Amino acid sequence: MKKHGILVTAVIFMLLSVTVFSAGGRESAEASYTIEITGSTSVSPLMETLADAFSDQNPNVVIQVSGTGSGDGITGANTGVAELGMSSRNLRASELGFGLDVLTIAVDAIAVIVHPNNPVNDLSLEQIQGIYTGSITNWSELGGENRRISVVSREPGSGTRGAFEEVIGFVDELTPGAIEFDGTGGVKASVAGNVNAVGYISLGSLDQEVKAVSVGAVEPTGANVVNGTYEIARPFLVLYREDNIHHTTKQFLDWIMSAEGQAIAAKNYVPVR
Amino acid sequence: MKKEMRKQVDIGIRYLFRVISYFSVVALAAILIFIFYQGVIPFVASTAPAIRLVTEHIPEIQVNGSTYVNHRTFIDVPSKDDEIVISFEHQGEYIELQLEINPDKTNPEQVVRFPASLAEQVTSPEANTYTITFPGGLPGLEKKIHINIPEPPYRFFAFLLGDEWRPVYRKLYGILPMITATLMTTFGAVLLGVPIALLASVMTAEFLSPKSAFFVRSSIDLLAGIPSVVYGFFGLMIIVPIIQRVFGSASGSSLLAAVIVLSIMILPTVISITITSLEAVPESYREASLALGATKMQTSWRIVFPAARSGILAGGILGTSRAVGETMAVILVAGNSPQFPSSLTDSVRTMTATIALEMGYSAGRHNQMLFSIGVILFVIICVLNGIIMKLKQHMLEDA
Repeated sequence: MKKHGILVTAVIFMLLSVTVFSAGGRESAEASYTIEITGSTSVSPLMETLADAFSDQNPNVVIQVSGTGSGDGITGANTGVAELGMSSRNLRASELGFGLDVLTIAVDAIAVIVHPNNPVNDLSLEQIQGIYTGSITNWSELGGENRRISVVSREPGSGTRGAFEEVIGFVDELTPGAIEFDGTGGVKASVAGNVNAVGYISLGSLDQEVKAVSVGAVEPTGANVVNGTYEIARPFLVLYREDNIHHTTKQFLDWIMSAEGQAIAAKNYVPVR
Repeated sequence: MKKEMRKQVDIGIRYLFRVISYFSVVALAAILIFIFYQGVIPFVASTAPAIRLVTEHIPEIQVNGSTYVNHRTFIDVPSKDDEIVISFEHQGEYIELQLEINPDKTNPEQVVRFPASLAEQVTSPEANTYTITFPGGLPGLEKKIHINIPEPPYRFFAFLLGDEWRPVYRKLYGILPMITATLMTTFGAVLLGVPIALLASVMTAEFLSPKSAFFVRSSIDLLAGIPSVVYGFFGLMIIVPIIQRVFGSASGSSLLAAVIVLSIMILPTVISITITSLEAVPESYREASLALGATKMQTSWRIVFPAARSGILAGGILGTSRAVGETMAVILVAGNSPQFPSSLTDSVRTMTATIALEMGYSAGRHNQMLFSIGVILFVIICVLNGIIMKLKQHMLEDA
């Protein structure tokens, strides 16, 4: 028996862990309801804040938010992998036909960011287009120092990138050689660490590490999005199937659209009500 | 009785082993079949069987004689129809559109012909998609009809040899820049890393005192255990800014940064296997060489090193595979732009980086194309291993 001691222990541990995990899962399912939310990395920070506030009021509701990408959110809601999907761009023609219900929970501006030491404070839409399509390559052409521009973009398929390219008008014409990162954090870190860099991120994720430039002398603020002067904006969408969602999830959606939920959205984004 | 039970346990455990080993084979096969299946679809099938319409803000619409009320999903136009007749009410008027279909045309722009009167209302937001817009009373409530034309099977050579990766709107899936980048970063890393690793191993195995050799070996084993994202972070914070400063480029994220980080990452793998194989060379070889008057250096390079070459080659194989498959560290330092690098300071994107970057953001054919990249990666690794195996055989025959 001694010879098999280790083996037997290993098998027992395997069986034990399986039972423990499955039992744990069952127990929590009985006590409460878990809402699975997946999708855009730009929407996730807002959704997590909303989820925390809602869970505080309703302790028996567990909300799991995973930021994987807008494409994942739309597919997840379509196939039913997640109850709610998040998207930071409008649905494309090939996705509209899924027949998903769409709820706009907030509007977000996309800020064009540069390194804090960069003297450039304002760019026009044409200049931004020039930078991203490769016709402007030096900061001196924009009133800055004589340095080459390091163009930082998001990866193809990103909701932020899609919205940015559509508003600026260079759909899928990004200059070769532009650096691409997945996620808002990567773009921000890259711009914060390189004085030559220019990038774009969600206004809600903006902080002191980077400097947001005004676009055509209009500051990227929520107020300017509301009055329509700041054009680089996109909706934050939640996607679901009305018939398939649990009544708890419906409550959560109603709460997001209530005065209380929208007040939370208004902290960093533009509320829709 | 005790013996009997022991026998039973023995048999039981043997069955358990068998099940586990079969399970691993089945799991591997399932993964491979899934990836191959997904990866082959774009080259054999169209994205949809027929032209599909989607409407926005049109409560009631007739398409080729069928009426759809508050229809939100796709409206499929049967492939045998040679025209699309759409009619609906707009601002009190009754609108009828007649669109001709030429399913045989390969150019998507010619598949559906729009009447000249619609020219101003038709836009193409992305390749193979046309949108007809009718202005509504409020912004955002325009009546829209989207026409999705199925994409024909993608040509395999346009995929393998295409130089543009524009997957979202223009639907171009050329991966040659990524194949180039993967090969360049890998060979660069092997070129830079393997000589360093070999020198370090010979030094450690042959010249260092047992005490310091033990110290070096354990530090290298420790290096092997560091997660790759940490190497990437080190590269991003240290190597990338240095490259930017030294070369005066716009950004330090480059092919060179990827090569340097990868060459550091393959060091532990190559070194530890090389040391092991050098140590496995019988002591009598060294004694004989030294007895014949060779110096310590001559013995190491001319006797011990050739005797251990199959093990050294194995280390090289593992190092190369690690460099090909490395993802996280490369994403952080390479800059990820899908282009052919014209210099060492240009940013590149490897195949694994593409899969990792875009998997969460892709849908439909774009998603399947990422699996196709996985298949190509698999083939590259198989070919690479095949070449090295052949080399090894040659070397063993020569010996």
